[in-house]
Amino acid sequence: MTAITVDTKPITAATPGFWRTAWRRFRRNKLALVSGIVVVLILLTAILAPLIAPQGYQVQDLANSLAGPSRGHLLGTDRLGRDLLSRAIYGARTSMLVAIGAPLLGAVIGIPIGILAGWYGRAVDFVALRLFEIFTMVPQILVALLLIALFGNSVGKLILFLGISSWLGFARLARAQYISLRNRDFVLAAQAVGVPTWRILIIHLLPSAVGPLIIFLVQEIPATIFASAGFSFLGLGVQDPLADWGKMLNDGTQYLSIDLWTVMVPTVCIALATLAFSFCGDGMRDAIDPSSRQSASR
Amino acid sequence: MVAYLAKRFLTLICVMLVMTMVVFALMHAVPGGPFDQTQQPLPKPAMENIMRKYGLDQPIWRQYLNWLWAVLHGDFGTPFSQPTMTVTGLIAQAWPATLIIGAWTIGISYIGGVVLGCIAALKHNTWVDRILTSTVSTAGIALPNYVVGFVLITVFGVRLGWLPVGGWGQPQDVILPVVAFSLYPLALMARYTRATTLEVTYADYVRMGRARGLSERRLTFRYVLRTALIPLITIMGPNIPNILTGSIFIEATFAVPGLGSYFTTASLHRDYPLILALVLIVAALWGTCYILSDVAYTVLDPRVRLEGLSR
Repeated sequence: MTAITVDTKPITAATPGFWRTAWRRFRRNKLALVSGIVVVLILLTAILAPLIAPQGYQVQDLANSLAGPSRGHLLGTDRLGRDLLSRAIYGARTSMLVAIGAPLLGAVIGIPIGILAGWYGRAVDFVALRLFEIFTMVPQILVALLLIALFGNSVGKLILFLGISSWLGFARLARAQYISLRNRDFVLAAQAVGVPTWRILIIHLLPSAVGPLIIFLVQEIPATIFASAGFSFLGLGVQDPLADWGKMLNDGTQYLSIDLWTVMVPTVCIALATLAFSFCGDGMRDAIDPSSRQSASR
Repeated sequence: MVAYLAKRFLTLICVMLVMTMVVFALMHAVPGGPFDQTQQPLPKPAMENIMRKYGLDQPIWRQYLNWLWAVLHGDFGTPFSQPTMTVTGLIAQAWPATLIIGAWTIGISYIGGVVLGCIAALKHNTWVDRILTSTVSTAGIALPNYVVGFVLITVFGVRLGWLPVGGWGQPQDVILPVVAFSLYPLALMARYTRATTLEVTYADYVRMGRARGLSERRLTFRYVLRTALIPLITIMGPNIPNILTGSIFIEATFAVPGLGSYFTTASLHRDYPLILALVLIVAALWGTCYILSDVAYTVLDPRVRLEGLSR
């Protein structure tokens, strides 16, 4: 007796998956690819700061304050003789923590609201839309500034307040996504089989909606860098001796005419980070949704 | 239309009321008060006197109603930080600087942005277009305006010495802040103009016109740009309050004594009356611009109908 062996292996798809195609498109976009590499480098710098930085961010060398670049201090020193290169490296850590943490918090608040509004429609959607309407009329950056000024400043609070004030965009986007998804056949099929709603919302629908949400998150990062560095620059954000690019800018402005490096180092850091993140975000958008490209750069 | 406008403005007034309530509650929720940060701690009786003078010894809801009542009569109170002035006077003093910078910025960025966007679209797929869109407009959108400001200060203020580093009063003080501030809206306008113009350039009716032998100039100005520029007005509207609130950083960079800098110092020093007045102004301006841009949309594009408006 010879058993008939049946090949039970599932048929593997020969066509490349969604993310792989997106990655291929992203790779072809030179500007986006270079920006992506810069983003990775900045993130690595932030994570590995203690290993890379030549000095601690608070080590003072008062004899060499406001000095230009030298062998000891490659980018010079600030008013307390702290090494600017080290502070820029540690600054990447604080700046990136806020720049990524705040939009993440906004996503965590906004996406559930958007999902519920888009899925349930009717009364829920009505309430959500009125909420959107009201919060559109509230200038977010001023709200964040007021909260930070009133409740004090630490990295955690900066993330909290910037995050709270950035939920609106995520909620809008998630709502639009779920409205366009909720009448699809596979949702009906899932409901017919008796899949619980929360499972449909999270396991079945979220993967289809997550692409644009991730892109939005990445595109929010430069805006958050702008705001958080801006607050630190106004003297509202991160406090001494902690290093942050905006804080360094604030320290440097008083010595603009004496030592340009104190201003130029944080300026270049902020510029590099915001540019890299936005080119990278644009590239991701074009890669995931090629149709969005049509109007922007046909 | 009147009913629609009335409804929108009613919402706006409600939003403003709620905002002032929230801000009021927030300010009082934080421990400490506006007079804690003086150089030497005040003796207790003096402190009590001050608290009584500004009504800070009363319950919160009472304080809020008092404030609201005064505001409805046009009295915004006395700023704690400058007791010799009124809030209205202080704002009247700070307003022009912000307004001048804002007006120049709006003018330059809107006109310049539209022109650059049109050039990019009409020279589509040439090097001009590529430089304008990929580099200039993205850089303008991505770079924080205070960063641009510091680059300008270092180049034109410190190195070349052509323009003042900061300050306010002389005519040339306006130049650098406006340039730094314009870059973002300029880039945004250029990007949108290019997109809408391109959309129209490839429309069937333009091809038809070209087939029938209309001159390129006539096609461009009468057929393409006319249609392409309509949607832009809706982008311009919401941008105006953006420009006015974004000026916080520009005013700090260039040491301009405008509304933005007062907002920062008032928030820091817990100057309750000043913060509330500024919040009210900003909210009113912000909301009005949104409403007006929604209305402009319907006026310019007959396909759009306002929600709740009878056809």
